[in-house]
Amino acid sequence: MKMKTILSTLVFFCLTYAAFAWTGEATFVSMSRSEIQALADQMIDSSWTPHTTFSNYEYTDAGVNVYRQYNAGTTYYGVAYGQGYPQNNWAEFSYNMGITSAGNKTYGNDCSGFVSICWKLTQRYNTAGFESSLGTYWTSLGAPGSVASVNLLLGDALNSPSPNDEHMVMFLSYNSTGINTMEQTISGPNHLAKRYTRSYTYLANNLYRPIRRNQIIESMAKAQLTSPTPGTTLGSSSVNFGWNTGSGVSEYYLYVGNSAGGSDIYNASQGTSLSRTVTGIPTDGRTIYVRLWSNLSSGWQYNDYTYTAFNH
Amino acid sequence: MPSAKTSPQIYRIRPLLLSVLLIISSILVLWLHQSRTSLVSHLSDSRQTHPQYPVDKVASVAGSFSNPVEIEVQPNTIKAGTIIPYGSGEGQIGIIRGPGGRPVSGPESFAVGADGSIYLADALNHRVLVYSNSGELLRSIRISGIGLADLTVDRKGNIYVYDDAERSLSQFSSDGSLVTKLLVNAADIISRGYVHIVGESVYFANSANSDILIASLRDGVLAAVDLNSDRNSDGIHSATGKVYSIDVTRGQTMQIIVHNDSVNLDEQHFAISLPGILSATYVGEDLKGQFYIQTERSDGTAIALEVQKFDMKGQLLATTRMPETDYALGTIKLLDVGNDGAIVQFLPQNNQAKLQMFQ
Repeated sequence: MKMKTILSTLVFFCLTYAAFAWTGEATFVSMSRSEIQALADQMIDSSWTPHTTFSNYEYTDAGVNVYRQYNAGTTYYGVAYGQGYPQNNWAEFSYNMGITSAGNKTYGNDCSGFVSICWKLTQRYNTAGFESSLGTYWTSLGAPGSVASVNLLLGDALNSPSPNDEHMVMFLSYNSTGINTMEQTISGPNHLAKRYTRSYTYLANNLYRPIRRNQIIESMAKAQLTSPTPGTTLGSSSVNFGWNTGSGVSEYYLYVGNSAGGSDIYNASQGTSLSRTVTGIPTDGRTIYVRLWSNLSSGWQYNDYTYTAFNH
Repeated sequence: MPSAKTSPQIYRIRPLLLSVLLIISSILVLWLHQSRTSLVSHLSDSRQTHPQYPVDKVASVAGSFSNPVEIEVQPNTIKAGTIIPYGSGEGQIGIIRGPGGRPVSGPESFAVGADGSIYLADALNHRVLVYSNSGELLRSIRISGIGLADLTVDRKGNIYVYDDAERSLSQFSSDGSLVTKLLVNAADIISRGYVHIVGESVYFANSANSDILIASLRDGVLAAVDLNSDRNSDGIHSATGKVYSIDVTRGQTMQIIVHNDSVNLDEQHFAISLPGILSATYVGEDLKGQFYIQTERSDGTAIALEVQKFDMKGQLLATTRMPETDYALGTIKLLDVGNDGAIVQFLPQNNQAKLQMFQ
């Protein structure tokens, strides 16, 4: 009877453990870039408030386990960093924050676990594993340090295994100041999943290798202006234009002009922003032409719109 | 920037004309050429394959990346510098090393004050280290209870700290006592950037060289702004009231728009041809109104970190290449500039950090 109770208890804990610990997907399936981003966004932008103050295992330094304290009642953003096994995806991590007891815990995920989860791999790989298993579920896009000479797409990754940084990041977008990333990182004072802007200098000098997940379903759609409603009359000389994300768009660019395709009123990159207030629009009832460019992996494409200027 | 100059309709017609109407080909080809020229001219706008950047002036850093003509690169341009050991003691800065012994976490932010002092965020030791513009450690300010993800200073020496875990902005007096703390979880902050103060406004400069207003100063105290309003600016604000919009056509040019007067829409547009350019980041102005832009360029094998210096009229004055770029840690800024025009580099290397000032 006693043995039966022990076995039942063990089975219960094993099932609970299996239900709330990410050890890999059952099979490697096709997925889109937006799905990868959605998983990353969830782990970066979700907030959590620990049920109880606890200490989370982060890494081992010279044989000593290093923990970080998270306080009950404090709201944090982004899944906590942790090299513990197994790794947590957002659902598991969030659940754990609601039930955790005090003491030393192994919650969260680390940089390669973050990528493994976002890429829906069948197991958690570390940075060394991502390098040694090239050609399996992912492919190298170039040599270590070649970030400047490849064309990265949303959800690609950059990996720097030992003896270099022992870190990896996921590509979000190009921007004028560098490369926007999504990553789980121990960098800086807060060890949480976050977006970063990495310089080419840093990525090249630390020999990050660009890699791409296999079985990506490529979807591309130009962004569309959503406000003000195209074809309507503008309300003043200052107008806030808004657009949807489209799909697979790495950068937006906006023209406003006095002729079709013109940009004599406004002409600038929007990076990944989804709105822009344009001032100095004429107020004499003329036709105003707006062109919204979307940078897709296939190149720049645009949608054209017209408005009637405010007439005072 | 590629621009389609072809007319598919003409190409479909031409083989038919050549095979069937050989006798009149010379006349017809001449006619077609004229038609095509005018047709392409008419269609060129709707056939753009890339946004065309506005340009009033075009300058150039002549020569190839590997042998630039106008580059001023000399180690002897170092005006001052200091080596900062890693550790937790006096005059040291904290890092975490990975299993392989390389730094994996540590200081990520620094700022230059109005008097030229340099403020380093020693995040792991929970303090701000203040150095003179000659590299002398002046003081250490204890900052506790908050993550030192980024910092900036105002003219009075107040310190502002952004914590990316709580997404908060805190104001500390120059002795490190907390003045106030705001939550700034704005949905429009979708990239990492740096916080800076211009007048009474506190901006988050994002990775697209655009400012997002995140707070203001009222009677010298940090105050909230309406995070649901449109707070985006088309560029980075400077102390002289100008706003700098900077963009890059990868591998080719850097485009700059200087908004001299946002009310009257007085703007200067110019472009710089920079072979191999990858990025461009506004760094700052000096007291003469000269402005500085950090660029990264590649020749296919190596990446050069440079600073382009412009006069008030947008004339390129000098290009300075940083002699050392072995950043072992990812930092919010690679470089900054002081009021005296000194370029400040905080360089966390494998075994030590360097604080260097270039003139």
